[in-house]
Amino acid sequence: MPGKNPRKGSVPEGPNLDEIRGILDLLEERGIGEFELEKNGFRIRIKREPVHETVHHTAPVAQFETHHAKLPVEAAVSAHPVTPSAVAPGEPAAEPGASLHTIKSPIVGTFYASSSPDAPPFVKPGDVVQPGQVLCIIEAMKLMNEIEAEIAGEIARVFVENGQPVEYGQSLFAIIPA
Amino acid sequence: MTHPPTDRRIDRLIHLLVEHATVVLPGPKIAAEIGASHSTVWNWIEKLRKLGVDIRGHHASGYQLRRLPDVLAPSLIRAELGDGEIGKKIIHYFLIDSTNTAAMELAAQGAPHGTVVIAEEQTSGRGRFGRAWYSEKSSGIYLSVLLRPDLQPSAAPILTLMAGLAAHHAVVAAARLVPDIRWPNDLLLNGKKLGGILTEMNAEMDRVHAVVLGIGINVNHTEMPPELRPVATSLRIEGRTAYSRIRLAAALLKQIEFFYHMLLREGSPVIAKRWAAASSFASGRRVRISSKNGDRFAQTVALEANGALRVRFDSGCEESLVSGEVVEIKPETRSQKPKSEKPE
Repeated sequence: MPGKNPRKGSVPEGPNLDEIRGILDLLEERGIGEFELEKNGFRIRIKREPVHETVHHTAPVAQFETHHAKLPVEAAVSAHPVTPSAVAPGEPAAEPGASLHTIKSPIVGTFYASSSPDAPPFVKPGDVVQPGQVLCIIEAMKLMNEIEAEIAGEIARVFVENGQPVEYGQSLFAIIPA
Repeated sequence: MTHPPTDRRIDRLIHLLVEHATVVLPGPKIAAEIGASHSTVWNWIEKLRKLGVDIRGHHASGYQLRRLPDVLAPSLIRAELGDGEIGKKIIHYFLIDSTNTAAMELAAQGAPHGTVVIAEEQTSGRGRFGRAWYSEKSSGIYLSVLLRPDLQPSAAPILTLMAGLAAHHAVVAAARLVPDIRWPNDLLLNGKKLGGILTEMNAEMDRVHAVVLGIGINVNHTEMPPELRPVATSLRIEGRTAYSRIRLAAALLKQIEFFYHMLLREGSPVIAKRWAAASSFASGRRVRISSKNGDRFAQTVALEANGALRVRFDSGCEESLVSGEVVEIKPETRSQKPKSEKPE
């Protein structure tokens, strides 16, 4: 079929600073102590000392371990890590709170958070979604691609803003699997 | 869905009247042929009359068509189609919220490639950004085509340009008027919008489940509502005559079939090439590009093989657009005509 493989030539994309920040916020918000995420051959592990009722502005003690797993990009999805506890993308989480499910854009286009400029967004952080529920629209050349939740869970993060251009494979949402 | 699809027996009633247009058909005979009661036949005849179908007679005397009807009856459209897949199944509605919504629901229920939903009237015809599509009763063509292409989602956007190209050629074939195509797929006649296409896709990361092409063409509107008059037009307004919606709808389905197979066979470059040959927007056109960050002005440079529009901004930098609204800059908007000038 027409069109080249869009994955070809793309650079392995690890979690960016914003995503890490988002994860940190979330962990703090929910008092989660330990977190591990594997994405495109990158693995990130965060361990926090539990911080609860204290009101302060110092950052929680966080430990970062980011490895580049040195996997070919094409194989990154199926290739497998190192630790037995690691969870493959798309598989149900083996441990409670172990993994966030990321929804990515299947096309290059513009992200729309709602069906029309006046309408409320399809979803916002904290919303509980069901498989098949519409999360956003990616528009390219007036092709409206409704992006659906693949799994049930809670929207943890929205990585992009309404009207923002997105690339192929760019992360749109993080979902905490139900 | 709030409105039911048209009873298939109405389609058969229309077909019967068309096939026996030279004779008076007795009411009881019609009733027996289509399997409806006498009073139902009478009700349906009245309904068709309200839609402008010219039927002579009454139940006691029998019925006869005075003129060929311009109701988008599936049997009448299919009679003009070949053996293709597009339009093999046509579902007709007298009234519907949106043909696209219905087609997307049918897609979710597993309806086959080529299924068409067509309506005489839409209550919430949709455009981009939640805009409404003005869908006057029995004046335009409002239809949706369900496609199940074996494409990567990332290669699917060219389908929208393919739809615009097909609609362009359908208008040329059925009305002998030559509309321009505004990127990516608006049809324009004399600078006003004649037709619009909204395409919806249901896909996974690496697989397209369904694409629905929603096409609206203004055909026999004698005038547009005042608020749309400066920007929209119909074939009848521009061509000063009425057109057969049946023939146009059939031409549209045939052109979609043709270009869809061309795309599958030869790939997107040939569609882009044909599109560029049919549109004044492919190169050298001065345009305004609206996006989230405001308006920018540019000149169009080329249509790329994947359907992206290459433009050169006034700043000198070039970009390939995959989304955003591109609007031509008309000379009239820069130098206003004196108001006292009389129309020709």
